[in-house]
Amino acid sequence: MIRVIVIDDEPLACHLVKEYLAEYPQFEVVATCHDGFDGAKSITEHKPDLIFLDVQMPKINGFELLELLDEKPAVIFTTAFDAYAVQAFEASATDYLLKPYTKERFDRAIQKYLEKPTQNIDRLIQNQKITRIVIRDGGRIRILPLKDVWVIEADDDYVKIKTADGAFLKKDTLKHYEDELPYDQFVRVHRTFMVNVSQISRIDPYEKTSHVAVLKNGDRIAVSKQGYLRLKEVLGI
Amino acid sequence: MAKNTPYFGSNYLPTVIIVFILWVAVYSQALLHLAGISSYVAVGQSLVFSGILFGIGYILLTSLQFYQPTTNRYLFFPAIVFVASVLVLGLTQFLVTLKNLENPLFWLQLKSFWLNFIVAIVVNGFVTAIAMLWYRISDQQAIENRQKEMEKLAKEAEMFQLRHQMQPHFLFNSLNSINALISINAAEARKMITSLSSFLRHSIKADDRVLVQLKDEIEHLNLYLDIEKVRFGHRLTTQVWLDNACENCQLPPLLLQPLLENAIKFGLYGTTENVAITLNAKCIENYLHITITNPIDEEAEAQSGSKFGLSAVRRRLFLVYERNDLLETKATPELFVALLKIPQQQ
Repeated sequence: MIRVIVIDDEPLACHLVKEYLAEYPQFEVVATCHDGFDGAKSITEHKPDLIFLDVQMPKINGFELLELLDEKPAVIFTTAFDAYAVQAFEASATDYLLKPYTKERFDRAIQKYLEKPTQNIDRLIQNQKITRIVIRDGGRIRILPLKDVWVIEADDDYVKIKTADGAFLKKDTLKHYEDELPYDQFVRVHRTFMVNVSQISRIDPYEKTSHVAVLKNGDRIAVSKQGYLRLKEVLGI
Repeated sequence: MAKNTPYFGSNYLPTVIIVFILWVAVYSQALLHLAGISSYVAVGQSLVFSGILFGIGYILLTSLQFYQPTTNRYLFFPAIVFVASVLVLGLTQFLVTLKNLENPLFWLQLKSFWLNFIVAIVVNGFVTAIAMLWYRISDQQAIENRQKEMEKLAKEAEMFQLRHQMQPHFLFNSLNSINALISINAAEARKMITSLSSFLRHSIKADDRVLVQLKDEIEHLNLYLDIEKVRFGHRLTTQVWLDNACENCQLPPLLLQPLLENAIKFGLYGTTENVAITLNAKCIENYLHITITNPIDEEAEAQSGSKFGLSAVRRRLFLVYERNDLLETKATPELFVALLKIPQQQ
């Protein structure tokens, strides 16, 4: 049995997927969810083989949901109108269905899945700039607005995201954040650090060639020579 | 657009003829006085010279509209005046000799030549200056008019774009819901197609320059809400409170829909609970006040893209009323409120 979860905020859209899927006896829909939180919870619980995922949903969107999962199932995106986002995830997803789609198009997506069921989405290349960071905090999902993020620190396969409420680990790379965070708000000051410039209270010289950024809460962050140049550029000094 | 030219068209022909005759008379008197020649020769010389001078002047006036130097304007002006004057004098000399109207003595010839030369320089200079100035002004006017036209078109295009930016997502999702509905409840699917069609028809027809009555706009909104209710099922409830006194108030078309869409999106995407959205309209002094509220979820703040609808509405209000203070928003922990003020004409 191939276990399926359908995630879409519109009940009718879920219904349509289930109706089309009913023709395939080897598929079993184990859950339908109407928002991203519910979807993430459901996926962790049921460990499905395949999910149908809408992009624009309540609470967290489809991309953010996938970021939260340690083990990602195969994904067929269903979306109404996101032509350029579609291109971005085309490479990594099993397929994407543009709403409204025909039964034939749906069948093609299923065939694609059956031919290559172990598609693993490692990294989603999003064209969209990050406007907030979604993390998993024990059983809870937290949404961190960028203004609350102080420092992002590389830590092996993870990044440590430091906020007023504490530090959170997320499986991601600093490079990803460097590419997608607003460049005038977050600066990579060091090989292992990115800093929210609005949290910096002062920059002190440190030893001969490097500097150290002192944050509003007193934390001291190492700034490399390169990082100091970038900081100067963003701060206009 | 017909180009405005300073030269005398057919309406001015009688004036030109009178001026010409007067000019010839005065000029022949001058020649008579200066060179002491017979009045027959003086009138003849004056006629030839004046005819050529007027002719060259006309050519200058008409041809300068096709060519105006952009650089070296200060060199161009004396050059053209000089060339025109030499041309006038040369042609005059040629015709005078041809018709045997020369002055009897060489030094008298020289006298009238100098008079002719000075007059030609002055007249040509005057005509050239007037023409250059005139065409530059009218060129600038044409450029200004074109700019105004372009600005107007850009404004209209922007309004159009602002109105239609939000639509595709809504449209395709609605079509998808209809697609699903067909096998579940065909009658409901038909109803939704009709609502969607009416809604789209109204949206396409709407003209930003023409204000609409509130009651018509609310009717249109109800179509929209009907569709959204089918899409989101029991999760969405709406309440519309409309003060009877403001039924005939006027507002730009399709202004409320993006606000409502924003409220629905914010409400629905922000929370997974049921969502109650209220719209309240009343008249206060010379303003129509419309308040739209939706519940929000603190946890899901910083929803990306949520502000879009608001900024588009604000921009449209500015384009129509040239004011930036007509849309206010505030957020309490549970509610998001958008207050819209539309100035009413007495």
